[in-house]
Amino acid sequence: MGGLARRVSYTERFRERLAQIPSLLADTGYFLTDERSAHGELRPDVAAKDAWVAKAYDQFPVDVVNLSSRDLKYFSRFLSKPEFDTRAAASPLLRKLVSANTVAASANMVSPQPFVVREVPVRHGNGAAAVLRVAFVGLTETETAPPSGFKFTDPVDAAKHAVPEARKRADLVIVLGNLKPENATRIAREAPGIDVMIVTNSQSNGAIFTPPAQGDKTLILFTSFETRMLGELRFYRDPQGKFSTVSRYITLDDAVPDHLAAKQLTVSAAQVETNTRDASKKLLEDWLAASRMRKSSRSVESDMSAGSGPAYVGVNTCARCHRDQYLRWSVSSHARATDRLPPRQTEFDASCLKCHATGWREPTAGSAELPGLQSVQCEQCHGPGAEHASKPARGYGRITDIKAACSACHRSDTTPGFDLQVAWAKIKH
Amino acid sequence: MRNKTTLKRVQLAIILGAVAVCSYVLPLHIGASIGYGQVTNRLEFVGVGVPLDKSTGPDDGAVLAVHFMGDTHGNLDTCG
Repeated sequence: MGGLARRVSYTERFRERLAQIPSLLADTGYFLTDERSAHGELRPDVAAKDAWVAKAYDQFPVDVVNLSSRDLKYFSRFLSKPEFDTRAAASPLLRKLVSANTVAASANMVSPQPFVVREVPVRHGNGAAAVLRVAFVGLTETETAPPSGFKFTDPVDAAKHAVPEARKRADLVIVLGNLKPENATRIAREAPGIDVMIVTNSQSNGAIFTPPAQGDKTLILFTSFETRMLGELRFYRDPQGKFSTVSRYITLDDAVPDHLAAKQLTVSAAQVETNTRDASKKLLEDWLAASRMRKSSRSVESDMSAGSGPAYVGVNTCARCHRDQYLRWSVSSHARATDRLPPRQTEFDASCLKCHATGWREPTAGSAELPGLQSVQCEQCHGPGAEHASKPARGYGRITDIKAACSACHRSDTTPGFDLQVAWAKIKH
Repeated sequence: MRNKTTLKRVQLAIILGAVAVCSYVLPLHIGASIGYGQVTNRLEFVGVGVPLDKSTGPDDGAVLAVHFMGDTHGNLDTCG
């Protein structure tokens, strides 16, 4: 059930058949995948999939989207000041994201707007204003750690600030929440002025439908589990201007035909996800095979001429003179840094080799050379050694700031709990 | 596969039926006057197997319809 193709079919048919009823499409959030790599980054296949979801929301436009803490990981890269306007011109979705409790923590980042106001033509004017103004306020749970450059504030406090502002500018105030039901009820009670809250149903434990609730004067509705049923909230207004509603849940089963273009996009997105995953596995397998071959069948001297820039010679060359250091290294985790990669094939990308191999060079235009040496060898910290190996002299590769050298890879996100003193004691040489 | 789909449909129909009955019998539904514009709410389900032209329902004089979704976790395809 559910799915983009059926959803688009329904909303398009609604607009055709019921053209006199203005309609808006809203998403309460957690609409992207949030599966992370071992170091907390979005996996490459997941990032590719999320990009297609964003594309779908532009191609089949959604009017407003609540940016949940789960979705921020993907969008944070697009919310930097230098790039935002350019990005938003290409993807209108960026200006449709709302969150009242997600805030930029750095001057370089853009805070999502706390709410947006959409205007629809009034069907039965009754001499009143010609448009109906509907404010959508976004709120998210804060259980997921925010990405760099952002912070979450308390959703209740944020609602207390945003709702009165929205109320001033709109006839109806709707909160879109990625919230636990108990928090939704609390917000409805403590932030007066909300007509309706529509809340993501992530806490339902698989129940397809969660009944509406009431928080003080606020109607609280829940999305159907994974949107297997599309929600539809119809508003009616009596001659005194009072609203009543019907909340409808439309089952998106196979009686709702697929919208062809949307189905095509869905198939393409799945293909890109699969291809990205396969490419990750292949890249890793190819690299392991090539670097194994180099280790076993090629002399390290032959690596000296490989690629551009200073050449790497490999640990065996170092060991000819630095035997004690080699022995110490050979029993360390650095000597097995590549071993950790194979079990996580689907999340592999070339940047893993920055810290799990030796000889990484930042890719430049026309150059995507991968490091040739497995694991973290001498030259990963001390630099390429070809010149030193050919003309040995004191002073090569001396590290003056150990903390800076180690923290290039051992950061809080990659190595939680990393203790420099303890780690250094293990490899001191 | 067909049996599994049929079973799921029956399960869904039972759930929707139970919820619909509850919403009329129990006071959990939003029958009371609520909201800052004194909103009253009624609940409706469009169950399995309803053709698209019927599922949209008639033009009943609504001044606005807000379609809502969420919790899709990056999934564009059908599931369940």
